[in-house]
Amino acid sequence: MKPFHYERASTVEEACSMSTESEESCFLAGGTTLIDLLKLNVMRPAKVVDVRNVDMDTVDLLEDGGILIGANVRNSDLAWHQKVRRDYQALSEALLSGASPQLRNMATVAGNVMQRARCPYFRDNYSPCNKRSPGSGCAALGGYARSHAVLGTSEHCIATHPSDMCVALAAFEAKVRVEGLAGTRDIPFSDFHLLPGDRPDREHAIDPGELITGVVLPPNVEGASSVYLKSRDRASYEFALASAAVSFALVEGRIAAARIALGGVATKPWRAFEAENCLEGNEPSSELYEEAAALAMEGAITQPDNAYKVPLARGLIVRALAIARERVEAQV
Amino acid sequence: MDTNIIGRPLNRKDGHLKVTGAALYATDHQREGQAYACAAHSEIASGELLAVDATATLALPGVLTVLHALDAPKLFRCPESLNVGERRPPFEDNRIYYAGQILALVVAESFEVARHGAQLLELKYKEDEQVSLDFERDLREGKIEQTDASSRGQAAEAFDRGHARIDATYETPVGIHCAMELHGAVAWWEEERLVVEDSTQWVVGQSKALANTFGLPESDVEVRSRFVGGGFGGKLFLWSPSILAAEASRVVGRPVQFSLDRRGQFTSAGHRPRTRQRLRLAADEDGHLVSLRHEAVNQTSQVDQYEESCPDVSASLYQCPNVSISQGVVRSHVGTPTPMRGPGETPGLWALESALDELAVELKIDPLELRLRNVAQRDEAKDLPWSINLHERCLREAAARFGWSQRNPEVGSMREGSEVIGWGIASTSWAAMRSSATVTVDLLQSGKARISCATQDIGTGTYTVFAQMVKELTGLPFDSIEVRIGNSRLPTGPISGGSMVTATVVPAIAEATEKAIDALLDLAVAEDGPFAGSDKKSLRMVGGKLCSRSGGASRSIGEVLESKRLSFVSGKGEASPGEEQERYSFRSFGAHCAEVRWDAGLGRLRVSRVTSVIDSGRIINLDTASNQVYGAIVMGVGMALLEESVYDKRTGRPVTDNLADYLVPVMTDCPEIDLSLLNVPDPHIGKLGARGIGEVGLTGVAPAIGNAVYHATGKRIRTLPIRMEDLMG
Repeated sequence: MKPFHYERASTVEEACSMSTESEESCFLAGGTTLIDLLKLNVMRPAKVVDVRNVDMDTVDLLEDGGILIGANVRNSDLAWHQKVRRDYQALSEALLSGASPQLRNMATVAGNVMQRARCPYFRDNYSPCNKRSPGSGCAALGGYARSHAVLGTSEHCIATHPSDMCVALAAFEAKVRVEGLAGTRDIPFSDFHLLPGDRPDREHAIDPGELITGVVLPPNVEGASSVYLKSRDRASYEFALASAAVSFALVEGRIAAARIALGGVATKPWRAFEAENCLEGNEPSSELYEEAAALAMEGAITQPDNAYKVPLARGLIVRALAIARERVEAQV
Repeated sequence: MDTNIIGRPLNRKDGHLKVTGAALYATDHQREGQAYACAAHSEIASGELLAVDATATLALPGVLTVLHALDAPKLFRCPESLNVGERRPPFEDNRIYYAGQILALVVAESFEVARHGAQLLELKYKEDEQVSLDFERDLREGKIEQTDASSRGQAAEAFDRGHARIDATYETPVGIHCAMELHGAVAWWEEERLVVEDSTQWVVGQSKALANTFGLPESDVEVRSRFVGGGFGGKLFLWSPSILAAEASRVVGRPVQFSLDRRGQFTSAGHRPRTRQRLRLAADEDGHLVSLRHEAVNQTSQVDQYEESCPDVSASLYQCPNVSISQGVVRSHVGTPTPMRGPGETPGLWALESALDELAVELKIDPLELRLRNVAQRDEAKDLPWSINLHERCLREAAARFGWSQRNPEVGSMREGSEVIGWGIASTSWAAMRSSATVTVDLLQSGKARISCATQDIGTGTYTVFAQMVKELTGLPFDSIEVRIGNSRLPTGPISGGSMVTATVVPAIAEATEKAIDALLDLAVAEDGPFAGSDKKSLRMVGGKLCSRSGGASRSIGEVLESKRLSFVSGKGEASPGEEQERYSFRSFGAHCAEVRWDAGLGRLRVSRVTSVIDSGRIINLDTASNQVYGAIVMGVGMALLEESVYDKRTGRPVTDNLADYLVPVMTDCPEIDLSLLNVPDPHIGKLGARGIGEVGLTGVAPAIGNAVYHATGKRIRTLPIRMEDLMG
C-alpha cells in the first residue's frame, strides 16, 4: 500500500473542497472496495477523504411517493427498510443477495454505486489492463473469462459490473444525486455508469470533486411487483454469474411499466429496453417471457469460458417474470 | 478399565481459549524488538532473475534490509530421507521455476512498511520462451515420466473378455488447502539457537528440516506450534515462510515475523496437483469385477517430483483378480504440490467410484448392489487378510438410513417443483496407518497429571483426546490434566497427517499412564509409604486417588509423593507399528449417499443431503471425531462443485488466487448431514483399537455427488468441479 493523506470531512462542502485540493483523491465510506484495492496497490490515491461523518445516512420519503436514500445508508439498513421491502422488493432482495452480512453492515449505498470491477486481471496489478493502466491491453480477452461480461463489452475491456444493488436501482430508474462546489445534479441511473468503449478507466459520469450524496428512487408504479434473481456457484457470498431484476404491473390483464435489468453479464448495470418494449401491453405468457429474454440477450458477445451466460440469463429472466407475475396477482 | 470416558463427546480442552481469542497462533506472537518481513513474488513462470533494484525500497523510512536471490547467504538442502515442502531452499539460485516463487524479502519495522517496500522493488527478468504450463498439451505430447506401476493377473486380456466394459478418463483440478491461518512464523535466535513460533502439522519434522537448512544441530532448534489454524496437509512439511523468518532474523539480529499473504498461499505453499486418470473396468454378467486398470498422471513442479498416487486404492478396495495400476508425472512451471487431505485416494476414488457408477448403469445393476457384490474379502494388493473390514455393513447401513430403496433408477425421474433430484452412492476409504511415538505422563505433587508429546493439535481435538485417555486411566478430573504438545523438544511424537495421531499415540499414552501409576504404587507400598507393606496388586487408582480394592481410606497422589518428598513420578510409553503390520492389512471403510438438486432455469446445483456411515475403529471422542467427518463432507462438496485453482495458460499465473474467486463452501452450501460412526474397535491395530478419522470422511464424497448429478441430469461429468455450464443445454 502506498502511503496517503487522510482527512475526515463533516460536511458535503468540506468533503468536496478537501477532494479538489488533490488530483488523486478518493472518498472513503464503508471501505469494502477501496481498502482492498489500496492493500493490493491497485488504487494509489494521494489523499483519502473520509465522508463517514457527513450527515447523509437516512432514508427520506419524498412528496411524490418516492424515496431519497442517503449516500451513507448501510446496505443492511436499506435492505430491511420497511418502505423498500414493500415497494421496492427487488432492491431489498438484491442487497441481501450481495456479499456477506459483515460486508453489508459496512458497505454504503454510494460505495456500492461506485463499486469497482472484480476482474482478476484488474486486481492482480501486473497483467495488462486498460482499466487499471490505460493502453496496456486486456488480459481477460484470451484469458480466463468465466465471470466476464457478454453485453456492453469492447475490445478494450470485458469486466463485469459486480453490483447486485445497482441492477435493482437500474430497474427502478433511480437517479444518482451528486454535489460539487458547482452545485447539485441528479444523474439518471442508466447514464451514470459508462460503457468501457476505448476508455475503460472512465467508469462514471461524475466529475472530479463531486460527491454522491444520495440516490433518488421515483415512486414505484401502482400495482407493480418486482423480484431479483441471482445465479452463482455457491449459495451465498459470491458475485452474480447472472442476475435479473424485473418489475411490472398488470392493467386489465396486460403488462404495464415493464422493467428488466441484468447483472453479472454486462459491463454496467444493464437495462434491457427492447425486452421491456416487447412485454409492454401484452398478456403475460411463458412464450412472451421467452421472447423478451431472447431479445434481452441479443447481441451478446461471448468468450469460450462464458458462453453459458446467455442461456443462463435468459432462464433467469423467464423465471423472474413468472415470479413477478405471481406476486402481482397475489397483491390483488 | 472403566470406560465411561472413552467415546464420550467431551468438550474441547482448548475450546474456551479459541472462542475467546486467547489462543495465540504463530504470528500472534509478539517478541520485543520484532521486525516484519514481506515477500516479492515472481510475476513470470519461467526464466531468470537478472537484477533487483531496491533503491526506492531502501529509501523508505523503517526498511531494515532487502534479501534476494542475487544477494543472500546460501541455505542448505534437506536430505531426501526427510520430507519437505519444496526441496530447493529459497534464494538458492536466480532461476525462476513458477509464477509466485519468492524472489526477495523486505524486512522492516512494521508490516505496512515491509509490504510497501516489497511493492516498490523493481525485479528485472529474462523470460524463457519454453514454458510448460499447459497440462493438456503436455499430455498430448507424451511428456509423462512413469513413476510407479504394479499388477496382478492379466488385466488386458480379462478386459477384452468382460461382459460389460467401461473405458473413461477423469480429471481433478489443482486444489488449494485454504486454511484460515496463513503459513507464517515468528523466528528469533538465542545465541546460536533458533526458536520458531510456527504453524505446522509436524513440529518434529519442521525442527529437523530447519536444523538441516541452517546447518545446526537438531538440539539447537526449537519449533513451537501450540495451535494450528487449519492444515489439511498444507502444513505437513517445511515451506519457505519459516525458513525466511529465521533467515531474516539472523540477518537483522531481531525477532522477525513473516507470513505469506492469501495470494501467496496459491503459489508457494503446496496444493493438490491436477490429475488425469484413465479407468478401464470390466465385469461379468453378475457384476463381478474381472478387470481393473487405473492409470493416473499428475502435474508436478520443475523442482520436485511429487506423486499423487491416485490408483493405489483401486488395487485393494474391491475384489478383482486382474488389476494393473500405474502413476506418472508431468513437470510443469507450477509450485511443488503437497498432500491435501486424503492424498491420492481422494482424486483416485473420484475416478474409481465414478467409473463403478458407469459400470452399474451399463450392467443395469443398482450401484449399491454392484459395490456389495465386489467387497474385498482380503487385501489382494498386499495379499493379507484385513484386520477388520466393515465395508459391507457401512454400505448397507448408509443405504438404509438414506432411504436408498426408494430410489427410482431412471435418470431425471425424481422431481420436486422446478428441481430435479438425484441420488448417488460411493464407497469411501483410507489406509489406516500408524507411526511411532514416545509419550511421558507425570503424576504431580499438586494432584494433577501432565502428558507430554511432540505432536500437535491441528484443530482436530488432539488436546482433548489425550486428556481423555489420561482421565480414563487415572480418574482425574479433566481440568487436572495438562496436555503439553506443540513443541519439538518434547518426547518425539507423530506427524498430524495420514490420520495417524490417534492410532499412534493412544497406545503410548496408555502405557505411559500405566507406568506412572505403577511408579506411584511402588512409592505407596514402600517403607514410609501410605500403604506400606500392602501388595501393589491390592491397590488401584480411582478418581485420581489410590485406594485398596477391598475398601478403606484412599490417598491422593500428593500424599503419596509427599512421603518421599518428590515432586512427581513419571511413566514413559513408546508405541510403534509392530509385527501386526505383516500379518494384517489395515484400512478404514465407509459409504456416502448424496442427494443433489438441479434447477435448470436458475443454473442452480446444490447438495441437499448426505448420509455417511464410517468405520474407523474405536471412537475416543464422539464430538471431535464427528466434527472431522462433518468438515470432510463439506470439503467434499467444495471439491465436487466449487474448488479449482485456475492458472492463466499464457502466463502460468493463478487467476483465482483469493477466497472470493477460489470458492469454498459457505454455511448455506452445507447439506443436511446424517452421520453414523460404527465405533467397532479394530482388533489388531493396538490398544483400544482406534484408527484415525481425518481422511476417510472425504475420499468418497465427490463421486457420491457426481453420481447423484448423473442420476438427476443424465450428464456424466468426469472433470471436477461440476459446474452449471456442464449441465446446461
